[in-house]
Amino acid sequence: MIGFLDAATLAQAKLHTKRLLLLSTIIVSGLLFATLFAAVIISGGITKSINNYTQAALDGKYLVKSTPVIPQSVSGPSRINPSNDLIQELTALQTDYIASQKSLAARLKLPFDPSTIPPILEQDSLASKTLPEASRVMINLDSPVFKQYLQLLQQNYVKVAKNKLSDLKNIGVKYGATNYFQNEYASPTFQTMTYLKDGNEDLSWLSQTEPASSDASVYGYTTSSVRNSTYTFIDSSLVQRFILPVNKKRQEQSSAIPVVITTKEAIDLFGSQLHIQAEPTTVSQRVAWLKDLQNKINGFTYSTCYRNSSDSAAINQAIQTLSAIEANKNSSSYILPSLIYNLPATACGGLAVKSDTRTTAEKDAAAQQIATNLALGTYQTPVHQLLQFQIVGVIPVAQTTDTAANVQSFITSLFNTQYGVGAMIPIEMYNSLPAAEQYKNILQNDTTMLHNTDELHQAGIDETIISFASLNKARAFINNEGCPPSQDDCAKPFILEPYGTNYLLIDSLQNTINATLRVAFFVIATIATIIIWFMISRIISDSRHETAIFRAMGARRHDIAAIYTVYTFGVACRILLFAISIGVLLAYSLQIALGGEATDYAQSSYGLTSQGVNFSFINLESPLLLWLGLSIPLISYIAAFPALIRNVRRNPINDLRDE
Amino acid sequence: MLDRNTHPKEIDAFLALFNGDSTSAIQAIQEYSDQTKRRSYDFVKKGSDTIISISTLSKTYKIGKQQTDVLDNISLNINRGEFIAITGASGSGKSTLLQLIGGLDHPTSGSVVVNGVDINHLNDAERSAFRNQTIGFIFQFFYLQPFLKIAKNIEVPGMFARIPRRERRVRAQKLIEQVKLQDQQSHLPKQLSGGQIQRTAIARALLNNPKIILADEPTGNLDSTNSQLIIDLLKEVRKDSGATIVLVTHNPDIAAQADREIRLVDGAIV
Repeated sequence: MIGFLDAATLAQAKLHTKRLLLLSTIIVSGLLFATLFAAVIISGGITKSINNYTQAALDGKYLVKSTPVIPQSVSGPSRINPSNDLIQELTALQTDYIASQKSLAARLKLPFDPSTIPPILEQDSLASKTLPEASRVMINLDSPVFKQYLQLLQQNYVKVAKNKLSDLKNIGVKYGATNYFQNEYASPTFQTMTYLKDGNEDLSWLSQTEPASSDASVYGYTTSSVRNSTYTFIDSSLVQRFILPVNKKRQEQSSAIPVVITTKEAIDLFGSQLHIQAEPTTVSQRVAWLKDLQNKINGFTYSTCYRNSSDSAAINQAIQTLSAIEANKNSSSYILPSLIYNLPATACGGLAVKSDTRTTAEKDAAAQQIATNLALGTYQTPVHQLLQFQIVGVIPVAQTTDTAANVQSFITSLFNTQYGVGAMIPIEMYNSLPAAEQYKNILQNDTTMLHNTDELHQAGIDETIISFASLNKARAFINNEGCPPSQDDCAKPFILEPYGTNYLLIDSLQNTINATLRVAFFVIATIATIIIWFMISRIISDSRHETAIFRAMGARRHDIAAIYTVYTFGVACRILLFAISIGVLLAYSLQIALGGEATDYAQSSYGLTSQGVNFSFINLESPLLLWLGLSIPLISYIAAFPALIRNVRRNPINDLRDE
Repeated sequence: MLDRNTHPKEIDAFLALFNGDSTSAIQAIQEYSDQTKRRSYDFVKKGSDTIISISTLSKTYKIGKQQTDVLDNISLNINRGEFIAITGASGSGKSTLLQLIGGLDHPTSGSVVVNGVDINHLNDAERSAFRNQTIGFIFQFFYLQPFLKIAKNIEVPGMFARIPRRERRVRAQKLIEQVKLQDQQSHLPKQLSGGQIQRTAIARALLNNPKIILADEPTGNLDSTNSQLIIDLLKEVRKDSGATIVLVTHNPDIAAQADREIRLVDGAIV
């Protein structure tokens, strides 16, 4: 057979013929493939960059948040609209409880007043009037009877539960889980711990049963963790990237409780005070804005006031007394109470006795009542505590809209930090503070403060963060062992979702891009095959005479095949070179146009402004590029094959005779 | 029927018959016959044996239901080193005969034995090898590779013969000198005149030292001066290499310079 170099010489000569047709084919096919090359390079660049940010953000860990699926009946019935059966059950328990307390008082030879026992059910003024009178009630969640009821439910559930931490670990080990973190949540009931806006305490809150709608909207009580004092105690390693360097303010006041808050809360609560501008809409300004925000808020302190229910009740009582005195100051018939308190003179201060005209007997009776309640376990010593928090980090949370079906929302969700809305206390930093003892005492002694001090938590049935070393393992664990948060009727023991970064969405994006590229590849490959087939058919058809001459000179069929094989390869190489050049050019154009902006956006979203991880739209390492490159010669050969076979099988005399 | 290929003695005979002078006509035919015999005789003396033996060769083309007999029962021997001119009117079967001799086509019946080998019994690859090693084709329209330089064009048959590159170049260089194209060897065909192109084509046909050169109207596209140069060149080639030349032509002057003229009329030798 003809040597390769000779075949190449003749093929090269052929490439000079039909130049316009060849050029058109190269340009059209090349542009089609160039779009694929560009798409592969760019999508590879995007996913690689996002993965780089994910890796840098969590030090290569892929975190999964596991939430045990707990039946509604166990986690506690709804406060409002209890069923008739539940009302009967709780009423019976309340009766038993009163009886037991009465019996205890008798045994201790103490006077017993049933009215000191908090009711298990309270009137619900907002209940539907269509309900029977007896059903228009709501459960008093602070009632000791309800707590007992809940405790019993949970104790029974724990015995059969399959969603304990030990169960989770048994499953996690199959997927190579490397670590488990259990966050603790301080989520006080309303009024227990209040944010002191501008350092002032609004005592009117204490007389409310729930936040006023104006407060919810103006201060964001329902959405702001700082405002409603809901804190997450989290392993420091999980939020390390958001923690700012220690500055002068933090050195000066190192005893405050460290807290990491979201940029949204920083603006909402402290924006005007610290002269922080609203989040800019343009990405280019976002990094500078974030740095300014970080600089201004690092070390900033704010206070909250903890008052337990007894303390709150005393202040409420004092407010009412003072109001009554004020209302009756001109009334000669009004008899002043024997014990009058002044309201706290300072924020989160204690009540000060204004006047105490009680007789000794009255004082003794009051002291006796306290002693009795203490003995019965129904007395709560009033406690108030001013707590100072210091902001040590901010989590960039992009402003999101409810309608996620647009590109902006999608990109925003890609960079979502997935910590949810919350203020977080890094556990290790917190534990090292001597002053944190105050808060620890509160949390330990007030069961309304830590929601996970219950039976379930003690049994390890609680939210857990599981760490995996690879995305594939994390994804497999999520897909196989749990339900997504959106699933209502989850039959599995855990609800599982990504945590820390939205790596699954990124993974899903990559899969979607790959699927789209596959379809695009087949479409483009088909079109390119037709174009190349047309071109090569024309070239071969128009070269029949030449082929016949070669045959007359003694060329064998496979010599002719070799020449056209090399020729086709030459065409394919030209298409390939053109496609790669244009594809790379497109990718670099995008990088030049948007690379800086994307870097700013990603760095500010992931809180990695100081780490210098650049966002690149270019990834030339994808194996898809190799396959795509190989596919062009393959497609060219497929396209050339029919014409080549026809040409080779043809008797040369037919073409000589055409002369 | 008289045409431009008709031999002068044939014309004389025709004119004598037309004028009713049968004696002169017979004399002219006799002279024509003697001249042809003499040329054959001269060749027989020069050559030694038969290189091409054609026996009862027929070729029929079928186009749909229509059947065309292009060659009809032709028998012919051509001796080694002989210079044969095949003449005849268009459609008389000249080129077909040439293609059958060159193994480019299969006869309907009969045989073509070249150098002792019946080429009808060769398969496609053997035929290719036969053409490559034994035959040198020269065409009226040259068919050079337009984007290969002259020297490289001459090498093409050697590529198919897998002659080593260096040897191929040496051979091509000798042929370039032989056809006096040293100054044009780096040119592309489009930069050459018709005569130079045909000389290139002749050099290309000679690269593999063929025993037989089949030239299909090689001067058909050339003026008389260049035509004669080409014929002279072919004669020189025969003299140098002893190759047998079978040349199809319409030109009686060229045919007259051959050792023997084979005239075809309607597919038969007359």
